Amino acid sequence: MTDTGTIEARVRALIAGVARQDVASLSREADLVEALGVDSLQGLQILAGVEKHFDVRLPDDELVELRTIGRIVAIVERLQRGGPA
Amino acid sequence: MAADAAGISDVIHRAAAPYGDRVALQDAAGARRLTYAEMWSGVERGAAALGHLGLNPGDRVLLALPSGPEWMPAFLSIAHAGLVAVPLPVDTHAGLARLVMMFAGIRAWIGDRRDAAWQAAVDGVPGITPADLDRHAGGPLDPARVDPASTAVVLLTSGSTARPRAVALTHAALRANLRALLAVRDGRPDETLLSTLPPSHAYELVAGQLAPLAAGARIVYAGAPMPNRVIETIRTQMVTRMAIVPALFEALVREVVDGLVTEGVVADACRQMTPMALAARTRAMPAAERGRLRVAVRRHIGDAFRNVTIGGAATDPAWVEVLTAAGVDLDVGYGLTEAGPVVAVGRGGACPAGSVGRPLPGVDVRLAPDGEVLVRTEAAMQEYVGDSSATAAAFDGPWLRTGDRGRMDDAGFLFITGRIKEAIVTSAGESVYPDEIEPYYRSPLFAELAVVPAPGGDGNERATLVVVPAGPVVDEAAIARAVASLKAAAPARLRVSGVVLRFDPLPRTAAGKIQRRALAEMLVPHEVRP
Repeated sequence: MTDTGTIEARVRALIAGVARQDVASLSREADLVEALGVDSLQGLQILAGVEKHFDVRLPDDELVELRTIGRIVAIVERLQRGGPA
Repeated sequence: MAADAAGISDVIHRAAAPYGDRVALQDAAGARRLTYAEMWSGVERGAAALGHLGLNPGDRVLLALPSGPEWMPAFLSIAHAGLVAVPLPVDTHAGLARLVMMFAGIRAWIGDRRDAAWQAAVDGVPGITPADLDRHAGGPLDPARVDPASTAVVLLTSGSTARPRAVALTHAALRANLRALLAVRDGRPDETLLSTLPPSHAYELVAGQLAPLAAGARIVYAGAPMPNRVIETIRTQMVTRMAIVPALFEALVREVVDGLVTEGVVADACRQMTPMALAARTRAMPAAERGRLRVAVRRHIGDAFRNVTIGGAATDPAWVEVLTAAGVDLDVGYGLTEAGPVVAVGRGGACPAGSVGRPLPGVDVRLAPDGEVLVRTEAAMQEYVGDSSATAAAFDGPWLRTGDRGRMDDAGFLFITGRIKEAIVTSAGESVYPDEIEPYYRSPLFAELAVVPAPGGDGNERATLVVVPAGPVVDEAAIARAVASLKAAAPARLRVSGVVLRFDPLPRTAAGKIQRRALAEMLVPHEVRP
């Protein structure tokens, strides 16, 4: 179990690594595609990093919605709590 | 002869008959699986269901399903009913779907979409879901009902230099390309293919799915192409080969390299290496270390994986070496939707560097005086739907004009050197092509690069290098130094005469080809630095 701040810091680092941009000041609600110009493959690379780092399996039918830091953090928290996948 | 009076569905049926209980189609997890017998009974039920829609032979049916185990039975149902399949690329938005519906004269559609934008697009044209197709009671149909010379499929192309077109291929054309592919690829029933490309794309449809199905192979649909999941699927499903676009291929290599770095098998520096640097590193390894590397790589990708085909763009020859170190062959090839689609294939290690292999049996290739590759094949398209002048312009008698420039060596290996329409005519009066220039400008400082024409002021064009910097910090002086030294190392005629830094990804087609024309149009003259 990890707290929200730690999860968010790690998610930001994963995004920065794939998008090759500084995301420290990016809002939690900003759309990654619109704000960073992340393409679909980069988006999937970010989510792959999330799955590996947090050892979770993201639900297929929610992948397309995981386009903001806030949503990614929320789903990691939910999955780590053992919530409905 | 009865054997020839049959459509593409009958060919698949006959070829696959011995493999009834084997799995033909499945999803990545293996949760949804169809055996050959189940696939075929689904095709017969689907064809019967379509028969009840009151359509006429030759009517066009839009296939609007995502890639997955339901796609191929639906496609074959349409063909089996004597109708024409028009596969819609999955990411097509409703507005474009509406245009396709109108201009392609669509009479019915297969899909699950029910949202308002989609309903507006289909505008009263009857739709049927895969579940409806499967509910019907099917039964054998007379194979003679389908004329092999009739259209089987209309494919929407995503042209990198031209506007999208609708290419009609007959049953006989699909059969000709299948026959040729199976003659050289020795398709085997123990193959397992991972499908990562959309089946609405001619290569994936014919070489990626129909040819393997005619050989009794198993097709695994990758689903969301997340690099970690694709690697896991390759390992757990014992995948033997896959076709893939360059961007996903590189992401998979990085995924494996990341794993090896984490395990301490290779140095951290490998994460950021170019293909050329990785190749040099594997080349320099002593045999024992190479052996250990191979074992470590196989822990990630499994023991079964043997072949990868990288499509959509020129492949860096350095990848052949990197893959060989892991015991994987890189297959090369060349084709275009209009040629049905595969023209040439080869095994990377057995072809000269940069070659796309040799023409398939039954496919003749010659070069026009200006270097354009001309192809004569039974698999050639019937027409561009609704564009007779473009159809006429595409052929020189029986020879299909590919729009690509190439050469052939004495051993019959084909090389593609660029798009005829992408020729950059310099002030020296010479034609140079982006594909021959770009390999000289690769650098770890660039995430992506492309060469496009920019107006030269004297009525001629200048080859201009567009680079997307890699890394979070952009050091413009370092980039300028890198370009200067790369330029000095390139042959004189292939030296670019301007550089543009770009901070957005390069525009690409769905298949991963850089859209150089679109990119050239985006350039603002003052951005080009000498």
